[in-house]
Amino acid sequence: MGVAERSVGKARPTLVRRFTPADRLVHWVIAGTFFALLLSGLGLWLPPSANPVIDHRDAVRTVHLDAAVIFLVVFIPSLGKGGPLNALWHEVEMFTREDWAWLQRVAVPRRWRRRPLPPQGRFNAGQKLNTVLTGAALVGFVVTGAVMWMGEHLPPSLAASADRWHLWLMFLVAPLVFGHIAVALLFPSTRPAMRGMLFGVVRLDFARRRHARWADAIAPLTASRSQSEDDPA
Amino acid sequence: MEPEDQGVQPQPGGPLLRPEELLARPVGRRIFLGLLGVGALGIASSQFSFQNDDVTAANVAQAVPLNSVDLSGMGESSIGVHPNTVTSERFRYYSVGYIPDYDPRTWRLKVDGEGARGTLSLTMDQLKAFPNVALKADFRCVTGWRVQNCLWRGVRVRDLLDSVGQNGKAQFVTFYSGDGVYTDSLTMAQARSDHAMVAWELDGAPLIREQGYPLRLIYPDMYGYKNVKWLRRMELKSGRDVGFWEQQGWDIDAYVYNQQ
Repeated sequence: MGVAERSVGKARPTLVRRFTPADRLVHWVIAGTFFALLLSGLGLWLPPSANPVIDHRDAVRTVHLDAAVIFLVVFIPSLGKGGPLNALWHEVEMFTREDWAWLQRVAVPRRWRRRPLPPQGRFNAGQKLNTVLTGAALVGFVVTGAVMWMGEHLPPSLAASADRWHLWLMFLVAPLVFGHIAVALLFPSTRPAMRGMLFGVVRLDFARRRHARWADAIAPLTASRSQSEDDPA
Repeated sequence: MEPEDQGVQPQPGGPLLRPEELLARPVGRRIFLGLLGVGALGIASSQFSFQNDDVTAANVAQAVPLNSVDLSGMGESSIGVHPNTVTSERFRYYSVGYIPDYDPRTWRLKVDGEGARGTLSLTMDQLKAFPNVALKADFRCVTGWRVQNCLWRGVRVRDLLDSVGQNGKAQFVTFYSGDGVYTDSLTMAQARSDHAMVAWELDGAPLIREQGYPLRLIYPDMYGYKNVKWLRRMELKSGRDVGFWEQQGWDIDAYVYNQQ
């Protein structure tokens, strides 16, 4: 294990800050509204034979629209200068040669991989790609949703088209999100990342293993975990 | 340690920007913008696919001989598994209140009002004894979706109006839903059209609850919101009632085609 970790003792692994409180707030609001939107959207879409809330369509629709408003109220300002998503975007839109190599090699099962995965920044190339795809889909959701919402004032063909794409986007994005959750929760080698989104910090040895370019560039927090949680950094 | 970790040698204190990062390209931005372009094209082109809908007053609906309608049906047990609920182009179900229950012992269709000479109060069986008609038409929602070639079976509104008898005050018909909230209205000319019917069957099966079981108005010349579900009463009036959605700004004459 890492040198830095030994220096502070086994009980207290060295932690490094990965996400600010604003990052985490935006993440969890988007996560919450996403699931509210997904579930209420299914309630609006599923046929009667498979839909337990068909008798409450008005309430479900209200939930869907309110969740969309909450999502936008958080999403759009955080894209502005200095906002968490603005910073995130500048990080994920740039792909290095190592990112390309990482994408090519990660597709090969680890057992047969001939060369190691190249070192990665704070986000690996898969995370960057996921962010870009999800971001584009979110724009699509907002545009098609707005068209559907104002549907009666627009040509019916446009509203019908938006309706169809809104649904297809759901089939595109839901696997991305569930894949994201699976990687965060299920796989032991990637699970330490969850701590970053819950408490803002990750273990330095995890950072070095998975995000070496980033780990090299930052100074580790030598503070203990409890202190670093309270530190807004 | 995992195999891929072995090549990684952390170098504390290294430069913030490495050559790899200086060479980074905004690939993510290009993918993002490209996807937005593809999406815009997709919406525009599939809008085109919805547009070849040259519906006119002449072809909006066609009468179908009753003997060609599959009457085998699936019986009352089919409620909830209507064929039109599983196809890709299927109905969306909207209601503004609760879905009223149907009790055949107490259920009646009332036809009355200041414009009526008498009053009708029909059980479902009495209603079905009127001359049955079948009508094939696309069902169009004002929000954009449509279900093609719906085959409705029912009774013409005109036959019910003739049965109750009209007087000089009969200018409009207001249709009341059993949910106690929803209403809509037609002019007498619209209500007497060949296409205006009260229907209990779609594609050989009874309406499902969400679709107005046991009875709804069908007038395919106009968008779905004019087609009152859970129909319980038709009132012949001299003045026009403004329907539920029309109070919120929708057109009172919701034709699906251009009127020439």
